[in-house]
Amino acid sequence: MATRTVTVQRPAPMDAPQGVVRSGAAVLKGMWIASRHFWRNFWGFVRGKPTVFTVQYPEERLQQPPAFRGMPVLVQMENGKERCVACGLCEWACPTDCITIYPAETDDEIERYPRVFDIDMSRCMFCGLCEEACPEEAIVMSHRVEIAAFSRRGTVWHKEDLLVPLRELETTRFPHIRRTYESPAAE
Amino acid sequence: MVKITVDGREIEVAGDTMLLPALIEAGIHVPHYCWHPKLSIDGSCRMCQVEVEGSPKLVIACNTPVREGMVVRTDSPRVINARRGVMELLLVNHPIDCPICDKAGECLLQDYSYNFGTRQSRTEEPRRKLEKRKDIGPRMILDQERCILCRRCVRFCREITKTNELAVFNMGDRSVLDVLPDTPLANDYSMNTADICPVGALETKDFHHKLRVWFLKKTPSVCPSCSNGCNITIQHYRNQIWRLMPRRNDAVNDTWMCDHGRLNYAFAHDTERLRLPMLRRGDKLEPCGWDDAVNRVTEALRNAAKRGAPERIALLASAHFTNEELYLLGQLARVLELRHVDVPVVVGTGDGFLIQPEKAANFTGARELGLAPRNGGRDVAGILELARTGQLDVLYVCGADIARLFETSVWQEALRAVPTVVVQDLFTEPLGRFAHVLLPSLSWAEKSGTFTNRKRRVQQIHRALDPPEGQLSDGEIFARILAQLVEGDWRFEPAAVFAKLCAEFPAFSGLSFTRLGLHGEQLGV
Amino acid sequence: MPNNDRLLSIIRGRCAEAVIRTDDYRGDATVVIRPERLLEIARVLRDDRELAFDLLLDVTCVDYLGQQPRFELVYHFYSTRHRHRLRLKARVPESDPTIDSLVPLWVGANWLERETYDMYGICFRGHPDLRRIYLYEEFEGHPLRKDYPKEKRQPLIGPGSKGTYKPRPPEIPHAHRVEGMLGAELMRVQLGPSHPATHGTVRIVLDLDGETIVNADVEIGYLHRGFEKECESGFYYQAIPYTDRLNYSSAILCNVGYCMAVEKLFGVEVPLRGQFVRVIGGEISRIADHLLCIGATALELNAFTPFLYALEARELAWDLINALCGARVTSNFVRIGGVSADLPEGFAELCQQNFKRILELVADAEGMLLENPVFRARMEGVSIMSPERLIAYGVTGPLLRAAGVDLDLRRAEPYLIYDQLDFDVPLGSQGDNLDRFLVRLTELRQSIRIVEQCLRLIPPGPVDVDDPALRLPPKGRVFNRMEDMINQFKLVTEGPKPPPGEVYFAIESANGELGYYLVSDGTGKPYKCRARTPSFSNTQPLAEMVRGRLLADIVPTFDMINMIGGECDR
Ligand code: SF4
Ligand code: SF4
Ligand code: SF4
Ligand code: SF4
Ligand code: FES
Repeated sequence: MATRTVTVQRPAPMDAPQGVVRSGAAVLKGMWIASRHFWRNFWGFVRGKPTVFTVQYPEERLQQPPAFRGMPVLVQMENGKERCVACGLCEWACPTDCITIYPAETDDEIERYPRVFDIDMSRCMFCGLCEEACPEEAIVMSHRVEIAAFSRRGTVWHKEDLLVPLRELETTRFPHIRRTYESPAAE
Repeated sequence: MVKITVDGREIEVAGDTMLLPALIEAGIHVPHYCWHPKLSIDGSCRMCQVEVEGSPKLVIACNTPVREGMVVRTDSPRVINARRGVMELLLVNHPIDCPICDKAGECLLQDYSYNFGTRQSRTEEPRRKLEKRKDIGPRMILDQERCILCRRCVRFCREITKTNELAVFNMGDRSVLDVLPDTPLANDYSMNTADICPVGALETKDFHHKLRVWFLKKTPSVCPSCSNGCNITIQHYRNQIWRLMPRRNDAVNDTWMCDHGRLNYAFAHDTERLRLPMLRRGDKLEPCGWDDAVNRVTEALRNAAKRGAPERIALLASAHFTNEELYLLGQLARVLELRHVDVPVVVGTGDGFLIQPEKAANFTGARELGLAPRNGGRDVAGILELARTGQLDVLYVCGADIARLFETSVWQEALRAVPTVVVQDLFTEPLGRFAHVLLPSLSWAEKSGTFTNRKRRVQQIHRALDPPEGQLSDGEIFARILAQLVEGDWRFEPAAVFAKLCAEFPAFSGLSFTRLGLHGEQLGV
Repeated sequence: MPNNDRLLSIIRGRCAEAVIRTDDYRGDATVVIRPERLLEIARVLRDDRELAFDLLLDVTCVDYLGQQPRFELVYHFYSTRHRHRLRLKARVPESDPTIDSLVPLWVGANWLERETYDMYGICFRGHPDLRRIYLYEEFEGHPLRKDYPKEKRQPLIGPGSKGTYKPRPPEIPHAHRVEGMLGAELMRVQLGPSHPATHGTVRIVLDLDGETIVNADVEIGYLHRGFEKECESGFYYQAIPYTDRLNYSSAILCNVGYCMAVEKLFGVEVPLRGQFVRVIGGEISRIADHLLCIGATALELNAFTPFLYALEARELAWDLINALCGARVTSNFVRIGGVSADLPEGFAELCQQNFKRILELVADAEGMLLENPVFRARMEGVSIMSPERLIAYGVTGPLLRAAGVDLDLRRAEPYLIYDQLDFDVPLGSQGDNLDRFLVRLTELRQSIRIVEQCLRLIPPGPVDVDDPALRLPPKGRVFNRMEDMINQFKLVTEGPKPPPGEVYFAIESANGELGYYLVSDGTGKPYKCRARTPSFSNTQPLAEMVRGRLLADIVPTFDMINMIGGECDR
């Protein structure tokens, strides 16, 4: 075993009289540390390369990594329709039961589609289990996160609101999906 | 009985059967597709193969008779391999349709692939193309690609309905299932083929793309549509019925039910249902509280009875009520000493198989409980005649399906002439609009109780749907009226009422609610 | 590996007639005993030199509705001396669900038994203070019983309720009795449930004599949300997101513990690369957790600047977690049989960059605090508790190590690939708040060291087990292959089904031993899913730690205990 125990080093006690001196020094040290941070940020500002950690939302937004799980959305194909065939797996897999689907028949070649597809975003916890369950890659976690609404009803997103063009998703979540769900076991 | 050894365990089974049913009876699960308990043996799917000591090759359990001392293995490597082979063959040409297939979740192909197959495919070949979504009858569609040619449906049409609509065409790997030319699958039992089809090849139009089966909650019940009393399962979700399916009861309906009964459920969760009691004010019916409505009924009954004449009160009830409810109605008639009491039934056609002419489930129950005109009382036609000629003060009609007995104009003329008409029904139409007091009733799916079928078998129904909060059940309405008329413990609790009823009527004696179980019991003589 | 056979035979030898059955399933030694002999056996377990089970980790119950007797009490023990574990079980009937309390032997049994009473209605004979712990007194029924429907709603306590909250009556020690004077009564002060100086929703009912704390009653449960009930009603895989919400400052560690417990039920082990990924994710979570603890402590002792530095550093750790699994807090990262995703591209470089900055920020925060006289005065020598007492309370983790006890499961019973790694386990010397603070600081740096090693050593290969009964097939196969499509359907609709049996599995989470006790009945849903969380056991001694100290000492002590509401209340 390569672990070992060490006893943490306690700083020397602050007894008088050196304690008084060290206390004074500590104040100066604190000021020194804080001013370092200040100058660092100030120079960044002057040079036009801000180092300030805070992001000024909504003017500024973070660039999210491909793995980012925002709200679940429905993939919209080129022809404007959803890819979902209302198989119900996501509805069943969802731990919070926040998806409601009513299937129906269409004349298209794939005979089934979701007449109703609602997600209650106030209950959704962005876990992504729906995406994993979907056998059609039709529901995916997007990079969208803005779900605030003024009423309880407003937090229920309907199919029309949930459709996101495949093109947008190709640049956000899909690289991650391709990588995780297809590899490594795929040949 | 003979003794056989299965997987090293000795069991006793009936001697005159095939191995497969014997094993199933003994609780040993052997996967199978083509065998069905109520159809002849086909032996085509090869899924039920087992190893029998002494025979060099595997045998199919569905077509191997049981022998004393037989030694069977259902889990040897050879058997497991053989099943894997069968599964792989079945799946190699199967369309990748599960996401859009109604059967998913109760599909034997899925179950056996998951439990006995490889779970990982070796092939990715393109699948054969056949006809999909083929309209083969008024209530059925066929997906030929999904069919595994087990021929259960073919045998059903040949042996049960004897209508022979379905057949397998072509030979070898070009075989397809289809209907005969110009012979749609339209018999009265056609939807049973969807139940027995182990895959999603035959689907009912009614349930097509409606709901995933795994959401369905299942409540055992009895079909209310005729006096045969077919055992069914009410499958419901979100307080709505999505389909009815037959439930096996060899004494009543084997594993079948008729299409009419299967499709007769939507009324139960219709949004037009009457949910609040109503009182007539002028020429309008207005919603009122339960107490007001019940008080009004009792008052009218009491007044009429006081005026000296139970003759001036008539009671009509439908045979859709349970034994327990009818028992309370009988008590009401007894308390008021009514003579004009009738439980008429609409009579249609029967077919000598399951469909019976009496179009209500508890027609026999009403007779057994003595709900009929007594002491010279009139039947339904006579009661309407009395009403028309102004000889009635109160007419209480429970369950307006009996309206179909006569033209609406006949009812109208009769009811218009009665000072107090009480109607207790699911809907305002057809009789409710003539009522002075209109009471909402519950459908069979919303209550528990018992029905007595035509062969005098008492069978239980259970509540599947929840009625709106506060709505009284029919039994509770009767109980409240009774409680206002006479002292007594009139609370309505089906099991307790059934116990009372059994004590009172000799034919029912010895029965108990719990013992009826899933399959019911026969009435005594 | 401890020798379970030997252990069990010793116990059988010591108390032969009290033992009904022993078994050893998946490495868990279990003893089933007659309920009336519990106290006697427990004493042997604790005091026998060869057994020396000094740590009572958990008390819970399983409701076998329909069986006789109905309730099974389950106790988990650990020996810090011999490093072996034991599960003790005893059945009590529904008609008389009573068993002896273990409080006389382990003071820590107090809260655990109260919880079991609250959730299952088991009565503990001789318990000093048997009242509900999470729910209010008016609550009807016991929610974890199998016949209590999950959907059932009860009115929350409010107007019209009887308001019967009964804090322990003050026992006024002699020194605080002032006879016949004005102000002779103690002053009752409610700290919380929402108080700016406690991070976490908790109520502490204090009886004060001036500034001195005479009595403290810690009331938890404000974040109780029925974790166990929720897990029991869903599939195994559906519980993973709920484990995120136990210790939400280090969610991946909670994921890892749960999934490994389920894997123990299945008897599978994830491939090496998957183990490395789990360690990487878990240790970054630990860094985030310790950073929050350190920062919040600074804040609550009025040092705002170090708090900002620590939070900036935590944000950087969360950025790593976000890149790994797509969420900062609710990671939902680990899966049964693997992880949800392999390391993203460029992860090692990102780690290197963020770790560098994290270390700078930690050094700044430390530099501002450690020599600061106010900080020192409030930490040094405050709330010392002896190692023996801490163990009796069931305390684990940094809190216990700060008292000098060498107990870190990564070292004591290395799981995953911890035995292949080099790291130090810091211990304290005095066991005061300062030691606790320093232990966390050191652990944080060690975790960075661990991640850096992992990133160097991580082998190529799959991260998931190659078992179609556990992991969903790759989507590419689902689209084109029948068997895989069916497998996808079945795994989602029925869930993976472990064989019947029961296991307990624990990891070293940021706050101590996080254990899961799972009972499988062979279906896709856990029959019982219990989380033994360190925050629960670690919060219990708070009252004793601060008794006799000043009101102001509650804040740093509570901070160092680092109670996480989600984990404590479940
Ligand atoms: S992300 Fe999770 S909670 Fe939200 S809809 Fe999907 S499965 Fe449900
Ligand atoms: S799992 Fe996919 S295809 Fe199925 S209903 Fe959900 S989004 Fe649609
Ligand atoms: S029949 Fe069964 S296996 Fe075939 S598509 Fe339908 S559900 Fe899937
Ligand atoms: S349609 Fe169904 S029942 Fe008929 S042969 Fe094909 S698989 Fe069998
Ligand atoms: S069930 Fe025996 S061959 Fe089909």
